[in-house]
Amino acid sequence: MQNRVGIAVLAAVVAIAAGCSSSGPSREINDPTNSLVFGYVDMGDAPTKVNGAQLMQVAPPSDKPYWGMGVKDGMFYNSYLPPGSYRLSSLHGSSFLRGEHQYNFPRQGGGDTTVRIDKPGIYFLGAYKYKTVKSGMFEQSKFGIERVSTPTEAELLQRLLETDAELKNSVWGDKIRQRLARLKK
Amino acid sequence: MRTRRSLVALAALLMAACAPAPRAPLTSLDALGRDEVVLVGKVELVPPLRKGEQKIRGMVVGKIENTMHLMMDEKLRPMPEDPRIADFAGRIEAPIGETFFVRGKAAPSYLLGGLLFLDIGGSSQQRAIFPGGFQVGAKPGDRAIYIGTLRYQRDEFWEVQRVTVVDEYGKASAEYEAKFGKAQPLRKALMARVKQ
Repeated sequence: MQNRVGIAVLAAVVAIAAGCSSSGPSREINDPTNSLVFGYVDMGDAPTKVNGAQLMQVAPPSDKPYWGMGVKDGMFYNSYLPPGSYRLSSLHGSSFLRGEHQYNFPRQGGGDTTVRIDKPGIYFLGAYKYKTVKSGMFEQSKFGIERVSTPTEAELLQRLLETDAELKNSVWGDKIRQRLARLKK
Repeated sequence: MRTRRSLVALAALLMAACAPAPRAPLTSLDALGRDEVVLVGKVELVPPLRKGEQKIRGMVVGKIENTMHLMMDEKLRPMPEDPRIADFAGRIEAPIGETFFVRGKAAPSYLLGGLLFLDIGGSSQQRAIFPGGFQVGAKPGDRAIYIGTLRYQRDEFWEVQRVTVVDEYGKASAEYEAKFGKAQPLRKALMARVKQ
């Protein structure tokens, strides 16, 4: 469990993130102050797949601290983030048999699933694998995530270009290609 | 899953109902027992708790808002990462940024650490744990001691950057005298860090 970055509460919810499902203030995709933050989680061992993710802006203070993220096959991303500090707040998923689930990450602690954006750019939160953590009958369910080496940052960026036409056709297209070129050096 | 959720909710209610009492705040020194002392101190957060950083929903038992729960024990032990109900016994419910006056035994004890609820009352419970490892040097015969201001410097992710015990005796002593008079002097006995 060396690479586990956190244990958090897994809660079944009726409504996803009621009251905190704001996607944050609206911004233009080509805003030069935007940053792209992305990551990946393998939910193979989880009760559900992931179909939603949220970042929480912890600095500067905001009345709307939650930023929704796009999710594709375990990859989550947001390309509209202004400078600030963010933490991965929760993942959401649902399945026919197991219903809606919200996977909350601890609010205390920096580490891999947090990011400080000082200047606009591309920030990779990492790739992770969901791990079940045993808990007592009267305890809230828990889970952990472990850092994994694949998919790599380059593989995920390539996937972004191939699957999100809006992103590809925005200023992000060139920025991602430049980043890919640097990663391949 | 529904059964599990019900059990979790029930457990939360039971925990709230069974949580041991904190140390009682003191309004008069006459209420002190023969072997008791009033502990005077303060907890500070730097930067302070911002609006919206603590989310309390629904009915909760005990003081939660702007309150640091200081876990105390007669024996030194590590602050539990996941405190159980028993760990809350004898805690100090310290209003952050305000001087507290609570009852304690006139004998050495240990401050194990602090706990601040960040999100409580919804489907999840979030909290921040703060380091301790300090001895409170009360001794037999003491009636009132000043243990200092425990200052936690933290970052935006609630990582504790620095812990210091600050001597604000003058200010605390003035508050003490305004509250309890001058009959029993307030002895300065700042918390001391101990090796674990």
